[in-house]
Order: sequence, then structure tokens, then C-alpha cells
Amino acid sequence: MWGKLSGYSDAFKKASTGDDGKQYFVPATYYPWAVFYRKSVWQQRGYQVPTTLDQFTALGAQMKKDGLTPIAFADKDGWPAMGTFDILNLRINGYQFHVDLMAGKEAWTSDKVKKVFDTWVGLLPLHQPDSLGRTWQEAAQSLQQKKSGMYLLGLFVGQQFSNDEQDDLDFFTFPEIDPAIGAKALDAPIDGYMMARKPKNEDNARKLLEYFGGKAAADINLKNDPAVLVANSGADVGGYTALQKKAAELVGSATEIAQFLDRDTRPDFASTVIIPALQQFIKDPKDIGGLTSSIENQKKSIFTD
Amino acid sequence: MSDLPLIQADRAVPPPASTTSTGGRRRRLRLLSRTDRVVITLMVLVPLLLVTGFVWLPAAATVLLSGTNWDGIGPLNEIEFVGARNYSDVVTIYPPFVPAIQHNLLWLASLFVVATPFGMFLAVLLDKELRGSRFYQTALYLPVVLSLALIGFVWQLLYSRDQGLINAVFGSNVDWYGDSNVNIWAVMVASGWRHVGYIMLLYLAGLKGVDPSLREAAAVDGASESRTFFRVVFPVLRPINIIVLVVTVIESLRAFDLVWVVNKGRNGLELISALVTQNVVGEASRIGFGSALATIMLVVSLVFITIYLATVMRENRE
Repeated sequence: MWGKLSGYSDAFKKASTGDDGKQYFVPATYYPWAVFYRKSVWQQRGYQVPTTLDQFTALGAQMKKDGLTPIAFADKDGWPAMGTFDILNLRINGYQFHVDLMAGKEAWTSDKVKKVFDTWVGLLPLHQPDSLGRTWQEAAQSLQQKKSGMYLLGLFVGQQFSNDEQDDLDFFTFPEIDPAIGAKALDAPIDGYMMARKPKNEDNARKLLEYFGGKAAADINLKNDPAVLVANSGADVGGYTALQKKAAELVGSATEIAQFLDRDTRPDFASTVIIPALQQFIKDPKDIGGLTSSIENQKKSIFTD
Repeated sequence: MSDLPLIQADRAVPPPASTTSTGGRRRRLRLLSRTDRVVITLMVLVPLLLVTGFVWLPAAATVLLSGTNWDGIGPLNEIEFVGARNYSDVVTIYPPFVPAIQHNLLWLASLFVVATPFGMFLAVLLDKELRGSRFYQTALYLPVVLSLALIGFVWQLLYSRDQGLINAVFGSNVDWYGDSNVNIWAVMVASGWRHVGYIMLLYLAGLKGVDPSLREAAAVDGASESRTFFRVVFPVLRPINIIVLVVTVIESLRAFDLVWVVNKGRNGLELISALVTQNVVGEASRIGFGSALATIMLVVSLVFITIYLATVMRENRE
């Protein structure tokens, strides 16, 4: 099936491949997670895009001094904090560890996971306080109103900006933490199509999937929703905004694409264990040991088969 | 005794059983025509089937599923029984469980201690036919018409930390829905706001039915307003009091919509019903685990139902 498809980068193929080495998924659209900011604010204050964690922290401290909230943050709905966890984990421990952790093969009590939380503790003072009562829309509006300096979110953050402000929106990928791992992996959830295990009409189902994976379908997708990028590189991307173009380049240059925590692991684990755990962490960042062992205990009970 | 007339009215009608019971089997058969028997059979059978099909079977299935690790997908014969593991997991390693129990009890206590008496108090005031009492009545009852989900949205406009009315007016910085020490109270204010109106209307209806001559008699005897209420009116309203009590318990057990709208019942707003939904509905699909939680909720409800039924039955016997 995948042999007939064209226009997909290796990263997409890797993301569509199951544990057994077979391709299970036809990608259609996607959006990357990155750190967004307003060009006008940054130009006015002379901020530079940070490329290491130290620069990132220093920039945050400078923003605080300038009276800005360095990093807009909201986790009322539970999932936005997963993006922060993911990117820190990808930067500190790399893509393979992310995959293994999500598959339940690595222990949440390991020092590697604890290091992710420890790094996060260091960054928390730069985040907008009281995030558990805020929706991502409200946090994005604080960026839009120039009260916050930057915001780690998906490309859909642009929905909270008016049309003439779209050009003022820019982003950079989360800076490098460990030079040995680099900053090439990122979260870019892909939406797409799959086939049921035993469809009634397999031939036509395959044909439909081929169409979905082709250029024509990608063009239609693009016209309908300008807030996403299309996975097929053969599609007509002339209509991309500058932001979309840059996002496409970012993902194109990515070595690995993660799917976001709740898609990379079991959904039952993500929604009933990880969301409360991350909210607990944001509320009380001190007890990392207790938190990780609670996650690990629940993981063992869920990942039984 | 103030409620004597009620009881007398009951006894004034001779018990119908006495005429039929003496006639024996033959006469009873003649009393019930063919149509009667069909009607009676249907009237018993249809509700019985409905109750069995929609209440007892699902409840039994829930209890059964709580012993499995089913994920809701796949044929039923792939279900694996895991014994009491779900229950031990709930109690030992599931952090939201204990807060959920506490919050449910807190919910019950606050409705019972604050909202219900306040609703009754308002009903007594409105019963005095003050000027504009119609207006107050409508205003207080209005929230009851709204769904709790909608109430969650309405209060979100007041409670939002950055854009909400309360923080804007008082210049405060409280994270009403986000701070886990505050949000349960914030939500309970919202739910109490609705509950007060509900209780008020129920109680007002009861108060309107009290025989005015009772009050006049009490006034003639020189009883004060409050004494009249507590010694005369309140005891007469016993049936309404029980309904109010039951409504309060039911409201606190089924509390769900409000916290679900606010933050899906997480971070300080855990309730058993929300935990059940989190686990069973949607992407999680931990049917077995969720069923264990639901069974625990069933047992808690049964305790209250038993108390209620025992009270009512004892009264009927007296």
C-alpha cells in the first residue's frame, strides 16, 4: 500500500510505522508544536531567538525584568502541559526514549524522567502562574495582548490572532538542552486515515486510502483548513502563509516526529493517569519522587497486555 | 395534635380489602373481568420489564464488568476476569479516589447545611406575600431552569482568573477554578445557587398548602412567629421535609455536570461520578476499572436509599 504513495518524507513514514515494521497509517494533515512569539515585541526589546537552554532561561529572566510574563501557560484542560513534558523529554532523553517511555517499556521512576521534571521545575518560575484555571485560549490571548513573551503550543495558536496580526506571529523550535541529542525532534501530531482490520470491501477501501494519501486530497484539505499543514509534499502549497511555510520547513528538517503524549501512549493511561499527575506536578512541583512512583504504579496496572 | 385531620381523613374511607377478602377465591375471580386481568398483567409486566431492562440488568452488568479488564472493544469472549484487582487498584494506587469521596461528602454536607436551609428560609419569607414576592420568586427560581452545564459556563465568566468579573471588580488575583483549595468551594457556590431556588420552590408549594387556621390558632395562643414555624408549621410539613431531604441527597450524589464543564473533574474537583465518566467514556475506555468505581458509587447510593426506604416504610406502618 505505501509503495503506491509518493510525496512523504522519511519522518512521516517512520511515524506511520507500527512496532512490527509495517505501515499502518496514511498521513493527511499535521501541525508542529513550537515556541511562538510576536515579532513586534521581540524587535522592540531586541530579543534574540535562544538556541540553548541557558539562553532560553536568560531570555526568560530578561523578559521578567521587562515586565512581561516570559512563558504563557495554561493547563485547565489537562493536555497542554503534555506538550511541555514531551518537548523537554525529547530534548533531554531523545526520541527513542520518548517512544519507549510511551510504550510502557521504560520506568517512569527512572532518573531520566526525574531529570525532565527537574528541568521543568527550573523553568516553572518563568511560566504564567495559576495555569490550572486557564484555558489555552486565554493564555494565547495574553501573548496576543503582548503581556506574555512566548508560548509553547501547536500551530493552532494562530486562531486567537486577528488576520492582520498573523504576520506578526513567529516561532522557533524549543532550544537544545543536550548537545548530544540536539534540537531536531519535535511534536507534530499527524491526522490521517486507517483501515479497519477486516473491511467488507477491502479493494475499494485500499483505493480510497490511496486517494486520501494522494495529491488531490491534500489540496482539498489545505483549502478547507488553513491552520494545518498537509503531509504530502506534492500538494500545491502556494497558498501557505509565511508562518505555514516556516512550520513546514521546520517539520521537513525534523529527524523524528513525535505524535504528542496522548497519541504516543495508551489513551487510557494518558487521560486517567498522566493528566492528573502533570496537574499535580504543576500544583506542587516538590514531590517528584512520589509523583513518578505513583505514575509507575498505575502504569503497571494499565499496561498488562 | 396538629396533623389529626389528615389522619382522620385517611381512616374515614373504610379499607376496601375488607369486602373482597371475605368473598374467597370464586368471588374475586368474578370481580376481575377478562379485560381487567389483561390490564393488570400489562400494568405490572411493562414497568417490570422496563425496570429490569434499564435499571437492574445494566447495574448487574456493571458489577460483573468491574471484575474484568475489558477495554470496550472486541468480542465479549475476549474479556478477562481479574477478580478484585480493579477495586484494590482504586483504593491503593489511584490518587483521585480519596479526594473524590471527600468531595462528594463535602458536597452533601454543604447542600444540607447551607443551601437547603437557606432555600427553606427564602420560601418562608416569600410566603409572607411581601411586595414584589413574585419577582423574587422568579429571580430565585431562574437558575433551576438552566442546565448545570450552562451554569458552569455562566460562572466561568465570573470566575475566570484573567478575564473574570470577580477578579476585575475586586482587583483580586484568585484563581477560582484553578486553585485546588478554592475551586471546590467556588463550584459549590454555583451549584448552591441553583439548589436554593429548587428547594425554595418545593417548600413554598408546601407552605401554601398549610391550613391557615393552624397559624391563627397558634397566634391566638400567643406563640411568636418563629415558635409558630418550628412547633406548628414545620411538623405539619413533614412529607415535604422528607422530599427536600431526598432531593438534597440525590443532588449531591449525582453532582457531575458542573465539575465536568469546569475541568472534567480533575485538580481539586474530583467526584466519583466524574471519575467514572473519565474512565468509561471517551478515549480512556477503561470499562472494567470504571465499572469498579461505578459499583462503589452504587453501594454508596444504596446506603442512602436504604435509609430513606426504611424511614418511609416505618412511617407507613405507624
